[in-house]
Amino acid sequence: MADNTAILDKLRARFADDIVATATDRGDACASIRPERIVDIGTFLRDDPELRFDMPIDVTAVDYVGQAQRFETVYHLYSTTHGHRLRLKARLPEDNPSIPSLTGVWVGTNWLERETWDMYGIRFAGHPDLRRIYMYEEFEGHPLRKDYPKEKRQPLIGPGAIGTWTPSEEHRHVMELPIPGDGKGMLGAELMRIQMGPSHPATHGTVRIVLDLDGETIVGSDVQVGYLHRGFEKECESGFYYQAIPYTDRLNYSSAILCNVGYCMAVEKLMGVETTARCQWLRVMSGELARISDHLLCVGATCLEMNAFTPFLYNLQARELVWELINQLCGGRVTSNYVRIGGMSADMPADFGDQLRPRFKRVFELLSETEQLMIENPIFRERMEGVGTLSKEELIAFGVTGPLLRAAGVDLDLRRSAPYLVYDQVDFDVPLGAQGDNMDRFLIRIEEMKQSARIIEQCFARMPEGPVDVTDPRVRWPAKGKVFSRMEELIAQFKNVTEGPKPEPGETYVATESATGEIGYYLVSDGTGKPYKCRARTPSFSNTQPLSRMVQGGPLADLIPTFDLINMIGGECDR
Amino acid sequence: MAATVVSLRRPKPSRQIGWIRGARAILNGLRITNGHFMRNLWGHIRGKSTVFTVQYPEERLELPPAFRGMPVLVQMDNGMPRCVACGLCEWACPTDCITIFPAETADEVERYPDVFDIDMSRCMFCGLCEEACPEEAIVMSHEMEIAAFSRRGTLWHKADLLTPVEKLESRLSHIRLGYERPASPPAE
Repeated sequence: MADNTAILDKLRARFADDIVATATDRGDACASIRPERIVDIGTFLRDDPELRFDMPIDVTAVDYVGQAQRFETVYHLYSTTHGHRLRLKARLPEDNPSIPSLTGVWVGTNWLERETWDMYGIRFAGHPDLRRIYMYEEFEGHPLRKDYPKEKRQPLIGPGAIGTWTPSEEHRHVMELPIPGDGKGMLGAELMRIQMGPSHPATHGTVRIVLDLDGETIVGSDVQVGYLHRGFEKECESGFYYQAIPYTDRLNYSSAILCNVGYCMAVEKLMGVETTARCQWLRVMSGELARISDHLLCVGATCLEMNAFTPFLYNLQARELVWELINQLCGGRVTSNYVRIGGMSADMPADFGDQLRPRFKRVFELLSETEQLMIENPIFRERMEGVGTLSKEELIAFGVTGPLLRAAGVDLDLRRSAPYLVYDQVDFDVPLGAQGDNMDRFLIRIEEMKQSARIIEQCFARMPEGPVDVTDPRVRWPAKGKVFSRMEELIAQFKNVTEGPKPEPGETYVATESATGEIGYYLVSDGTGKPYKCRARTPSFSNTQPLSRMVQGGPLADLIPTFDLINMIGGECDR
Repeated sequence: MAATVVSLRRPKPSRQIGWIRGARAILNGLRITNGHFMRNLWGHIRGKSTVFTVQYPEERLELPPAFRGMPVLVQMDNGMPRCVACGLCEWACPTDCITIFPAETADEVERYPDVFDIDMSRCMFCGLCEEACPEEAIVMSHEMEIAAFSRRGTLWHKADLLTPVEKLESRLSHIRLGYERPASPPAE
């Protein structure tokens, strides 16, 4: 792993005239570049053997309204070989902001650039398919711009609402997408275009897949996300830092605590706060509980996609048992809202260990029954083995993380490669697959659940006594007992609630390993109590992108389990 | 103490003839599902049900003290809300679902909310209002059945929200656990 100065020095040495500025802000290497040269710089960063930034993590923009160079596009890059990160930034003018597209360098920037175009109206020159991704084609304006009012309502599509809208070249409607090839299948028959979803049980109700079929074989597909878009970033930017925590629950609603943890760690890093030891252990323990519940759902649903209803029910029963535990910790089953900036909303109940052990015994009994029912079943094996495979290199270029990437044999688990909280103090295995097919993806989740249970056991044995919350009243709201009786704490409470925590101006990116991959938060502070920019880099979005490639050439029926094992969570993908 | 990388064990390719593998899978499946059936049947005969499903609404789960249901107003013994209409919950609410109009009386507690509305169709039960409240006046109850036939029906007024303190003992005792926090320096 090269350190930040080495990366930036190397970049400066090669592109002296194109680097506007370099900085190391809160431990993140960051380079501002001239936008015209981004493709050359990107190619160099990807191919240089010492840098090897092979994974595009995130593309987004920040709108500094009122400044001459109004927009700043922000790229986050990661190197799976060296494990280091870099943030690239390029300033763009207010009128007609445009920057060369990086899709030729990293294929995974495709959707991310589409999203940035959709949300900020930044054009990516040379992008092969610059359509809107979240908003509908008729939508006017770019909602994440600071001058787009949050309260503004626009009519949805439908009779009467379309009004003056006429489709322009860039607003091609889905049915007008070109049909691949000459439009003929193998036997000379015409290809059939069908719409799968968004209201389809197998697409989790939030994704539309436009398929071109030759008989039963998929020859082309266009995956369209965004049906669950609800303006996560806009909402977060309009509230105080602490008010975004419940919204992070709703990113990945099957493992909400992991999303809470990532967000609060990002705010703490922005503020330079160190949490207490007990808090860190508690975060690890509750996060691993959430990971188990997420994997239980994914494994169970995969069985369901194969028409095996029984293991699905067993898994939901197991998940219910895990949810009861989460409910005792934080009072919510799905929407936990457990973690706070600088602490937790509540300490672990005294009898939690007694509650946990019998439930865990039953959870793993049920999981073992699922394994016995499915893994040796010949139908299941034939439908899973060798299906949905994509090469390591391609997955990395798409920015895929999490169990999906580990199933292909890439050793990338942030809990191991960049340990945060107390993950460096616990013993656990990171299982790696070899083939990267659906079977590996299925088995890796089962194995990860067992490892999570190991971590939770260790958390129990080693969790230190002591305070959960930091005592700094500017970070964590003061203890209620004192708010009731003392003036100082009462004032602090009023100030905290009405003004929010105020980090120093600056920016940070914090990545944590959620159940589906790397969930990262990119926060920009302008010194007020509200985040100037609150970007969630969500794994589901990047993981769903290569779906078209995974199902290409396979039968339609294999799309269902492949899609399920990506474990696309609508709330996280569409934000 | 660290994480180690292990390679995943996959089932080996089977050398058995197809129909034997199929028959084994069927018998194995019957063994497991019938195991569940017999277990539940035996539990039913003994009168100790092992069936996991709860027949809501006839049967109800026992909710843990930490459970966050809908927010309600704590009612004092004299029938007045404990709320002093300071408006902190209004500030803290991420969804702006609380509306308060304060008023004053000549009583010992001078301020009270003349209007206190919560729009339950917007409320997401996050509990930030309870955490912000400096008076222990708004707490998350165990109530969560808030379905209504109209949008207007989801708007809860002060009279609907007022709940006698006896009914909130479980939740109050839970949040009181966090009122005193030990102080010590942060971790290394």
